[in-house]
Amino acid sequence: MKDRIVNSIGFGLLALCFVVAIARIGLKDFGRPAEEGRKPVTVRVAHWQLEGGVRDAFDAMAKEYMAANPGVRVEQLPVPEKIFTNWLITQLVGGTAPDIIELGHGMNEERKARYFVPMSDLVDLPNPHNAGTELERVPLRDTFFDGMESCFSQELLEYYGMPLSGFTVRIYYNRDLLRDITGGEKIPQTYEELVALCRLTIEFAKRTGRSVFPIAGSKYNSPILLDRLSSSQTADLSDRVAYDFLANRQSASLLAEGYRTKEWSLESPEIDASMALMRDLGQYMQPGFMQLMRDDASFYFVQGKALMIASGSWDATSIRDQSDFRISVGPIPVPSPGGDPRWPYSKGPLADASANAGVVMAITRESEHPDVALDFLYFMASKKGNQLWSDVSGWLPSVVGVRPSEEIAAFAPFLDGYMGGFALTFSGADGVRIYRNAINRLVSPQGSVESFRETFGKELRGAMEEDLRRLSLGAVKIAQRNDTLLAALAVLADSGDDRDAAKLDLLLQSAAGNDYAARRTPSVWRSFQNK
Amino acid sequence: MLAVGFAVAEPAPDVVSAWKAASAFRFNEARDAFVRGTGDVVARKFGEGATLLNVQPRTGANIQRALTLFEEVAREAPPRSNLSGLARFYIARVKELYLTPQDLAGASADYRALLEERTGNPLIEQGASRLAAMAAFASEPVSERLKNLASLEPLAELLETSAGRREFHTSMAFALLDNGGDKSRAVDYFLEADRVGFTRKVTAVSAWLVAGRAASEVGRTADARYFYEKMLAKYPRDPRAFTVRTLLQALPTENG
Repeated sequence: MKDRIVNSIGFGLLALCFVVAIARIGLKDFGRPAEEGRKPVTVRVAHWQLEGGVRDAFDAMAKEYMAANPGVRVEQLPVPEKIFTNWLITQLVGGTAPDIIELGHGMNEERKARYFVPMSDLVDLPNPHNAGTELERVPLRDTFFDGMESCFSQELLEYYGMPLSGFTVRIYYNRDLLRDITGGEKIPQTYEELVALCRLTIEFAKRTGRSVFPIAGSKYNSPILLDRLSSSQTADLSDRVAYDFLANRQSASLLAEGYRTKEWSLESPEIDASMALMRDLGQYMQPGFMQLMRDDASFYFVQGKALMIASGSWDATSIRDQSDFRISVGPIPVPSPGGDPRWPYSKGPLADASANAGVVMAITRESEHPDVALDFLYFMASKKGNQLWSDVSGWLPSVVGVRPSEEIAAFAPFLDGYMGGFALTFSGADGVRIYRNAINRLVSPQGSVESFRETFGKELRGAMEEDLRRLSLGAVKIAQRNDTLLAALAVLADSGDDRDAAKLDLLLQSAAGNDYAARRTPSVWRSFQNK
Repeated sequence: MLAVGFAVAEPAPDVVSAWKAASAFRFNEARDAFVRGTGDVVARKFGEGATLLNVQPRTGANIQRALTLFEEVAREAPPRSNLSGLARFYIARVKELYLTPQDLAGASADYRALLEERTGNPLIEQGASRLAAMAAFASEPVSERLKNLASLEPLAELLETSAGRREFHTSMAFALLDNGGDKSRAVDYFLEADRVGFTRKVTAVSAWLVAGRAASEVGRTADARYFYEKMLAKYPRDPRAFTVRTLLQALPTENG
């Protein structure tokens, strides 16, 4: 009897749930205003940019778009960076992916091919949302400052998505503190001025008893400064050792081979200058900074405990929002040529190394409304949409002709500079690991170039060997994967498909270069094994 | 309305859809499609072999089966057909990159024999650039490597496709530079490759910058200028453009 009652209650609850579910579906499908005349369409957009201003920018673009398209609802799904990869894989594999997703974390070429819609057919056509602007007749590709290089997959030979932003790295200054320290607000334009400011800050801290460091460092922020300084001394050495360094072809193996054959060493004068330069500035960061995380350094800065922090344009809005002081932004200066004789290898200011755009948003194959998703993507990537994006997010625009606000003008890419040389971490993950373990010996007050050289030098050859092994396996793996793709494209192109023929031509160029690497890198790796 | 399921056999996939799946990285699915599919048996054997190279997990048995299939296709397809040539190319490829230990001598002999008998397909002609890469890093003294590279030069005459010529010339140029060979000859190779034309930015810029440097080092100023100016004209916003402009300015003028 008791069982029957429990069963009846259970069945009743089940029936109630069913009725509620049906009613909800009915309301969702038919409860919209009659004037729309069709079911509303929801486009969901996912990204991991939780930095200040970005969610507001997506909301602003969505609001503007929905106002012009009453039958469309745009929903934003901000997913924390730490869980983005797992979230992404679950959504893609489970067939529940949103319509538009930011490409990057958790992405590989296989996932792109399988789950995202290529845009290659559209790149030579204008963006319809640019009608009435000077970009009206300009092919989509040429409306972005990077020519959509950031969207092109070298392996798949297809364009995926459209970029929304550009990025550079700079030094942020606490302008109020700068005035307290120097009596003015002028930010350093040369390395010499930067060091002088660091010294003034130390004196200021001593004089006033305030706990202030010149630069907030962390394992994330410090390399932005130190690697750039280091590379200012190694440009010519890099060219000398690796004939393809400027071409950025496969120079890691040549640099490693040069180390093995003693073409360069940690005693080379360029490396010596580069290490001394890192120590020169590293000593102005708070003690033990390489053990700290990105958030620790930001906290230090926004709490007014450091005058400067090096970071990317992506942090501009967050830093401004969290700081109760005014902010200035300036370049990362390197030693001037002909200046301090301790850094004789400087050539001049360095160019911003990457000129590619970011925040690439792509449409998934799962999208139930790919046409609407594409239209919204076009809007975000139009001159009007991108102006809104840049104004609200405080991030650099990606579209040609969009004017960055005064606040972010200092982040505009600097291209009239030299390319820097290699950093000591050039070989890869193991190089980075031993560098991080040893860097304290270089930049701590009791450290020295000699101490770092000894500790780092003991492990450098082994780290290079391990990195070469990894690079060799990677090159062979890519070559093997290309083999099936090449066979497929060769057969499809043979059947008269011009698009497949063009893709085959691109893949042949890429595969030949990779095959060459699959011979050269293992050859250098083998030479490391013959001790 | 509820759908009532009937056991309806799926139509057998055709060869084209199987290749489409393979070109989108769906290797396991493509392999199944070749095995179950309809159409020419020999063509499907080639498809199965090509996909087996990447079916996961990659096992020795899969690679051996792929090799056997390629050998069968090479025997069964009409001798002058693309299919026969491609199968022979992949036999060499398996020896070069999949067997443990690699059979580089066997791969080289197969590529050479194939190129001497059968060109006119851009993938088959990649055998020439593979030969250059293998010769460049063979485990023998540099003098021997350079001799072997020189012996590959006549292959250029056999190549009929633009992609085959471009990749062969590019690989030969890099192979000479990596072995301390004749830089001026390397510049000639780069010029040949450039005449065909690169459609991929990374490859193009890499070739132009290395060629420009090699040309300036051997005093071929006009060629250095040509390569640098080409890079600047095509990619003026590249972060390396400023450096390239300084290299260009440093070149001696026409009058010395």
